[in-house]
Amino acid sequence: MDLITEEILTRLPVKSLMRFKCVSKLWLRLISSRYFTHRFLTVHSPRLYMCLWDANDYLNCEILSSAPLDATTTTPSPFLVDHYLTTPRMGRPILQNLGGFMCYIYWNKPRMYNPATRQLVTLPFKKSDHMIIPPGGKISSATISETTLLTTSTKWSPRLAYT
Amino acid sequence: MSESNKKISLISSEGEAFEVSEAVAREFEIVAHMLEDGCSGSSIPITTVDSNILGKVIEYCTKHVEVGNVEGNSEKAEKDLEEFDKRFIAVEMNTLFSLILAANYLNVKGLLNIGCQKVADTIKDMKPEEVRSIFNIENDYTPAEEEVVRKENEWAFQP
Repeated sequence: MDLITEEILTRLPVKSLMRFKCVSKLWLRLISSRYFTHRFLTVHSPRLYMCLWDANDYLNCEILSSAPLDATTTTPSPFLVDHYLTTPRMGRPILQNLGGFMCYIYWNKPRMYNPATRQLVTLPFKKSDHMIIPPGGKISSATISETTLLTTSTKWSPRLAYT
Repeated sequence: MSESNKKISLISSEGEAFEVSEAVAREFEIVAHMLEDGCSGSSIPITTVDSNILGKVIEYCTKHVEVGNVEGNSEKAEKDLEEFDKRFIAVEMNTLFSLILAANYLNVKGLLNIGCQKVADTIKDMKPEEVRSIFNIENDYTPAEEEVVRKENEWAFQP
């Protein structure tokens, strides 16, 4: 039955999965596990996220998502403005896609946002100390390991986001 | 195709025999492996699946083999098959779970896939409490613990 449960859960939308963490401790562990996240990624088709900024007012931004709201629709849906996705004050226009997270600098601190689970974390160090992300440039391996740590400690479920 | 004329008996857990063509039996991957391994007997016991469910799984496989053999007009055939699948899994939860378990045991991938997707579509908007009762899961959280997890994922509880 465990195998079947897993098969079913990989076919659920992220929103349902986040809610079903409340079903039992076993489900919480399964849904939060790295193993499950990887399986999840192979079953679902990737989703697209897009971020729009107002050039005159950088605090004014909107995240759009092509993720189908209904998992039963297999046809690609047009981009939808998902207001739940948009975090208050995305901050400066440095936005990077790092393994599915959106990374940007907010008040001199790097922030990571997971658009699939709507979790937002401000990293506890200054951008000048640890994290240098040149616009359009590559991300250093040091940053990646920070991300890995963060992923484990906060139980994020990383999802691919093509920004 | 001479192969598809050969008959094979699948025996349910109650001992009832279902005679099917070899092509249909091969849709059960577990049976296909047995046949390849030289298990040439013409009757194969499926001890964990009862007659009702085995009959249904055979119905599913027969339809899929039939459609696979039709030449030309594949678009219409595919549509028909989709309709058939939809009707086939429109059953109550207990039967659906039995079908999924059987599909998993017999390794019928198509049926496993549509069965699991059907359950996922059914439960996706449910509350955790409803999901517990469907999956027969005992809530092992204390109210305080559950509240913490709920708070962390509050957005997921909004409509």
